[in-house]
Amino acid sequence: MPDTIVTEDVDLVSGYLARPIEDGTYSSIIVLQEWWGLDEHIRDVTRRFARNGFIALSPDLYHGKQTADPDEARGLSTGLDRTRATRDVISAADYVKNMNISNGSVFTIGYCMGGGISILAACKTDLTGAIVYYGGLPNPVEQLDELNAPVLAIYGSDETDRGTEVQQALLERDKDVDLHIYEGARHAFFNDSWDERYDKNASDDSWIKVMDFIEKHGP
Amino acid sequence: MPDTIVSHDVDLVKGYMARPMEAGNYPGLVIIQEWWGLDEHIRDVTRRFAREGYVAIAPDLFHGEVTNDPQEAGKLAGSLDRARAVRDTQAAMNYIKNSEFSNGKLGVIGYCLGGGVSLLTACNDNVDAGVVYYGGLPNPLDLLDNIDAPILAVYGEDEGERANELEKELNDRGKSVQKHIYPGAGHGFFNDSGGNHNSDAAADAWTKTLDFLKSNV
Repeated sequence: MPDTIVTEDVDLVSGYLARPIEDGTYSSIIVLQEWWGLDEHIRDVTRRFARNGFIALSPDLYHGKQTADPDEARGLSTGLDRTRATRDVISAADYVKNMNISNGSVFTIGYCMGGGISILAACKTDLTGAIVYYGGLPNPVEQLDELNAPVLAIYGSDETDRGTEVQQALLERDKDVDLHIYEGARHAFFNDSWDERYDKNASDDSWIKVMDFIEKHGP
Repeated sequence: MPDTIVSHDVDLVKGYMARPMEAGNYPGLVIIQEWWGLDEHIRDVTRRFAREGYVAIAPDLFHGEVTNDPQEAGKLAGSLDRARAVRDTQAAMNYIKNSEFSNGKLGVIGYCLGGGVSLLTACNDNVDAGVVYYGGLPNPLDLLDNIDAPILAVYGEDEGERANELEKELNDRGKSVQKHIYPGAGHGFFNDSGGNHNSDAAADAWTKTLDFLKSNV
């Protein structure tokens, strides 16, 4: 009798990992995608962190989907189950913490949609630090009460209000927050695969701020 | 200049899935391993549930490790990060919920080590039914306050006390619980690849489990 079922091994959560070749122990950083998905740009950013001495891991929050079409990206982003995404981030943190080259420190960094997830994850698990590029506050905002990690918040001047709002919400709760707003830079200014939005000066300076933040709060 | 890094795709959480071949919408069931790992027996149980009409997934809580050595199994179980195990279980739940074959309903079942994780998951997330075969109680016990799903508790006679304690703790909290203790059966009696297998108890527990799941998912 032929069987009536199908079976397969499945990836419940997957991601893209980059790490230094050389033996040693390293801090980890979980890199969280823009609304396009785990695309070549995010993979590139993940490799950049690895070249700077990090275990860098980007979980695939869209579980296989990615797009270059803004309408589709908006649909994917709006449809994203934030609870699931947060769990995927924590699964990524679990994964790196269990690597024998981990020194135990785990940061998150997220851009655009991933920026909001970066803060949200820090409300739900213990992290060494959370970095947000032009991302939103958790909804409901009271989730911030649970946050323990220091936050670095980076925005273009087109989103000054949003950046200030994030800073205020954190300060009101006595959280550690460092805000930088780049004059003339716009949402997604760090994305060097998007000519129209990329701002090299803001990008380069913010990279230094990120490295300083990690050095200050790391092991 | 040669690159100083290595990069590749990684599986952060893996599992074994079985589902009915025929297109349709089916209730989901997450099956949680014993302390041996995601072994052939658990895969077999996963397939059995698929043949009964479930989209069934067993997440790999040991992330690649499987053993048939009790000492090593004890070590793996002892060092298991319970919070991570619950997240891995939730990852399987999310996977099912987002599958085109799901009808939206979800149950969770676990054996031995997995029985405890099954209960813990029911304490941490919305499931429609929870089944525990000879598993431990959550620590702290007050996590049970959060259970919404009806619970089916199946134990051998050797763990009758544990079963009674679980029943009492759930009853005290006004939760729905159905308990069965099998006389003469011991821990692991459902595992037909193990030394403690008791075929009569296993066959009856299987029927009770299917009935319980049918009325809740």
